[in-house]
Amino acid sequence: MDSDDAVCISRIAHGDHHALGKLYAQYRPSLYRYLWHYLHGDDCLVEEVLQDTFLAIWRAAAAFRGEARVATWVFRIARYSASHARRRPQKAMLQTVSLSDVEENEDFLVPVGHEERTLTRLALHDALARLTDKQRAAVLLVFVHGFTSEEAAEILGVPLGTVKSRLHAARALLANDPALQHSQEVNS
Amino acid sequence: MNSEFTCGQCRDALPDYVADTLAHTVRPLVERHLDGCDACQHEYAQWRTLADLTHQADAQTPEASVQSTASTW
Repeated sequence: MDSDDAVCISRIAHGDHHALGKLYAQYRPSLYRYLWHYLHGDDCLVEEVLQDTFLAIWRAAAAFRGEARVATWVFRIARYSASHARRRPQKAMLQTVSLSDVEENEDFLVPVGHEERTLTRLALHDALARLTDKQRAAVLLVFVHGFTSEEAAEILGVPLGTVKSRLHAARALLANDPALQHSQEVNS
Repeated sequence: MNSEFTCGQCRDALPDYVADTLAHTVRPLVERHLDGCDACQHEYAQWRTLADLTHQADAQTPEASVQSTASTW
């Protein structure tokens, strides 16, 4: 897969639009999910950053030296694009709904029979929301997107030890949460 | 305890082990150590929980539609 990706990057470097389309189709789903968490569910901003990312790839393809996996390089560009986008003035980001918000407003849980599932979904959403942005980014790269800790460090532009610290902090925060244990039982 | 692989080495490797990105040469060392170390097994279970939760939470993310958007390129 990665050698195919490298060929794709080489073609992009030579101005091949179809190769860019192929890379886009391949990486969009995983990049979208990664950016969606990083940008707090702001779909419009995610789309903007995706465009920025692939524009940057189009411009930088000739500079790709193959020292890292293409996936690592692509995610690193996306991470920089997202960091830059978050610093731009923009409309208010969507607010994350927390489990405690919903528990205070029981009308939100009206559909009978879906209650347990809704609570489970919100508990999971709440769990990721309780991590810091930096912890969440590391956890998603390693446990969802299949990067090693070392690759995650490269993508995030921090030392390996920093990624490990963030992962350990996330584990300590979430792994023993009783509400999440319950959610896992319901979901399994 | 396992003399060839310390608890520190094992715990250092656990995130990548759980994520299935650990080098194949190191995986057996982790597995042998886990077989004989309750403390590391406990930490392994916590990593497993974190990984499972993260997967479940990520599954709630709106999925991008590849076909509809890729055609714009």
